[in-house]
Order: sequence, then C-alpha cells, then structure tokens
Amino acid sequence: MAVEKKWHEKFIVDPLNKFANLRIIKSISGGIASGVNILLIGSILSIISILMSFIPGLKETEFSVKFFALKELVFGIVGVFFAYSIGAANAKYNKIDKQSVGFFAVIVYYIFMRPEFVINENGITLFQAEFSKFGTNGIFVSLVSGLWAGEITNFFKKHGWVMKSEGLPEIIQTWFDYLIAGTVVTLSAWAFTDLLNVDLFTIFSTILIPIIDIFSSFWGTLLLAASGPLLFYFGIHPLSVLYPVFAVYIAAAAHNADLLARGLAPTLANGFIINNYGTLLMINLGGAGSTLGLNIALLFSKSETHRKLGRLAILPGILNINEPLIFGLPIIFNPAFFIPYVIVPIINQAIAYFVLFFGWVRIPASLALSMHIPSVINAYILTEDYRAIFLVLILITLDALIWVPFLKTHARQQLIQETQKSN
Amino acid sequence: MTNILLVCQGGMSSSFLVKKIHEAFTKNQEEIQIISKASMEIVDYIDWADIILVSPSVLYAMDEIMEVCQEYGIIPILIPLELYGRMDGDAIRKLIVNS
Repeated sequence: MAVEKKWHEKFIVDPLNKFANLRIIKSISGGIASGVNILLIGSILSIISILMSFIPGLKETEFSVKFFALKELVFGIVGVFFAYSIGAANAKYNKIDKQSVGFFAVIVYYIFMRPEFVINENGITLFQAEFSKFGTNGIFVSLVSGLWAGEITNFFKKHGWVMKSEGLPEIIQTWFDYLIAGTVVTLSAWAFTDLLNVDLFTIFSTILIPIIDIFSSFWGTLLLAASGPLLFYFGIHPLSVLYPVFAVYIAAAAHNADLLARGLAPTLANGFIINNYGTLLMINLGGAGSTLGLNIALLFSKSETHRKLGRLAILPGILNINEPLIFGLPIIFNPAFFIPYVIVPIINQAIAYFVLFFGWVRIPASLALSMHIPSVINAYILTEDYRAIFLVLILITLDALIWVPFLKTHARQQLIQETQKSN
Repeated sequence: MTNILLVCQGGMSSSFLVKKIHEAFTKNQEEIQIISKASMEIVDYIDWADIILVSPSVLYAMDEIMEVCQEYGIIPILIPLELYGRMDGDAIRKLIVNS
C-alpha cells in the first residue's frame, strides 16, 4: 500500500509519532503509567475511608486515626515507586535488565533526597528526610532518577564496559554485568548532590511553580483539553504523548493534597490549584474527548448500527476506555465528527473551571488518581463532595445533547450509502 | 495450544477484545490462550507468544514492535481499525487463521 502521504501525516502525525517514540518520552509514559497503578491501592484506601466517614462517631476513634495514617503512608511513598517504574521502563526500551536499573533508580532517588542520619538519645540512628520528598511531590525527581539510572547503565552495557564473568551461574552473571554501571550510577548521583551541592527537590519545586501556573491556568488547561482529542483524531494515542505533561498536573494534585493534609479547606483562597490531575480525571468522562455523552446518545440513536456500537462500547466507556468509539464509529480521521469531538471536552473543562472557581464544588485535592474508575464515582472520591456527582451527570447530559445533531446527520448519510450499495 | 498476545497502548482497551477473540475460537472448538498487555511489555511475553496482535492505537510504535518480533521470527498482525472498534472477534479470528 504505497499511498502518498497527506499533509497532516507529514506535518502533524509523523513528528508527533517521532516524539512519542523517543526513548525518554516512552520511558516517562510507560513509567508513569505503571507507577500510577500503585496509586490504585491508595484509591481503594480512600474509598474505604470515605465509607468510614459515613459511620457516625467513627472519625474520632483511634482506629480511624490509624487508618488515615496508613492512607497517608501509601500515598506518601509513591515517589520512590515512580523512580523504580521509570527506571524499569527505560531499561525495557533499552532492552537491558529492568530490575537492576529499577533498583539503581531507587538508590539514586534516595541520594537525591539528601537524608541526614541523626543519632537520638538512645544511640539509635534515625533516617531523617522531609516526608513529602517520598511522595508525588517528587515526581520530577523520580523522572530524573529513573532516567539517570537507566541511561547510564545502558551506556555502559552498550559499550561492553561490564565485568567479565564467564563460567559463573547466570544469576550471578547478571549482577556482575551491572556492577560497574551500578557503581557509576551511584557515585555520579552522589557527586552531583553532595559534592556539587545540588538539591534537586528544591530546584524542581522552585522551577515547577511557574510551570504549574502556566499549565494549570484556565487557557493552559483548555489547550490540554483540546489536544487529547486532536491527537486521537489524527491517530495518535494521547497517552503516548501526554504523560510528561500529566506529570505537571500530578505535581499540582500533590500540592493540593499537601494543603488538605495541613487541614485547609480546598478553596481557591487557600491556594488550592483548580486544574490539577484530579480535575482532569473528574471530567475525563469516558476517555479522551469525553465520549461518554456520545456513547449515551448512540444508545438512543435511530440508526441500528449506532445503537449496536453504543451497546458494545458502553462498558469500556464507563471505565473511561473509548477505543471502540474512536475506531468503531469511527471518529478518527472522520470530518463529520471533528467539531463535536474537540469542542465537547473544551466546553466540559470551561464549565468545570467556573464551577470550581465559584466554589460550587470542592476543588479536587486527592491523590487517588485513577483513570479507570467510573467518572461518577471518581468525582466523589476526588472531591469528597456529592455536588461533584451532579456536575459530572450534567456534563454527560450536555455532551450527549451536543452530539445528537452530528449523529443524526451521520445516520442519514449512512442510510443513503447503504441504499446506494443495495441498488 | 496457540498462545496469542494482544497489545495496545496501556493494555486496557485490548482487555475487552481478548474475551471476544477467545469466544470466537471457542465457538470453532479451537483451543487458544490469549492475553492483553501494554505494547511496552512485548519483550516480557514474546517467549510465550506464538502470535502477536497489535491494536491500531500503537501504530506509532510499529517499527519497534516489528523489530522485536523479527528477532523471534514472528510477524505481528495489525488489527484493522474497524475490526478493533467493532471488537469483532470472529473477523479477527479469520484474520489470524488466514495468516
């Protein structure tokens, strides 16, 4: 199939695919995607703690306090896992041992943390570092740790700078193989932090503030809301390109969670960021492009094909997976659906922004950031505010109504095509 | 027994499709094992797999997927958009059988 490339392939699809294929981008995407899965455990704990809050009198008990501490702990140490998963993902793309690289990444992360060893009055050595450094706050340090460990190890492996260990059992060989690289990874990270006296956590938290400000601004987020569907429309899976951007929003979510843990109410006046990853997930109604409304409109369409696809896609759709619609309707490369597919998420985003801005719904401030929990439930988990559920339901209804006229035209065209074919 | 590996971006959308494909084979009294994974995990499962199906959502990584598969002498099958979208297990089964 030697088809001449269209303009959009040459100027949009190809460069973006190249970008998505960069090893660093792939490592970040793959690493964050599997790291976020760890947040699922925290999400389950969040759900349990929400359920517990409905039981009167339980909140003040010791049990409840202990349980809350567990939740904080699980969310609080995610940064270390991100370092591991990004290192492991990088190793996978370099086709080297991912466990070794993952371990190195964790060592590097701990070195970057610059812990102090303090001997207490009983002579016991304590490991001292700010607890927030272990968590999602450090997501960019996790990125650096993972890539640091992965790329240095890869460099040594590819140049054959390894210990020769022929004749030894394979397991020991793997360790010897990575001994030199691992030592260099560790020493270089130490020299960078302790000899050059660089505190990555402070650097990132300083440069991140303006970056978060730009990305999480009203217009910045609208741009992101539009870019997901735009990418998918041109056949590029949004998650292959957008994860590095999501990292900024995840950091914004961590900022909110920190403030909430200090006992502040999630309002704009208290410094909470409206557009954080939680907000994005809350209005990620059915997947990139918020297609749940479309899915519901399909269920009620007059066209048999529409209804069939609607039924097929609804279960994945509820779990925010919309490939069946993107490829099945199809939306991808289909001019008939370009406008609603791009407009709907922009409208959702704008409405949600103002609703949160005026404080009609609490600003999401949770770290229970799971993409595949049904939106209606996720809205409550993220905000702990029942009004968020209404917001989601209203948006889905609105989205469905926007899609109806476009579906009608599409159904009519299909009917004409089918009759032409049968004639 | 034939082992089939289906990959997509995150291994999520494909997890819905594996059931349909498995059903299609069972209907024809053919026994297969099929699992879905993220495309980055191919290297971990390629030893196990006899056939590799690729979702159109990871078209961007096709060159690399080809490269990995070639090392193991497997020719990956790219599932056409419409079949993937309709989650058409029967048609995909035919695609596999005919290749």
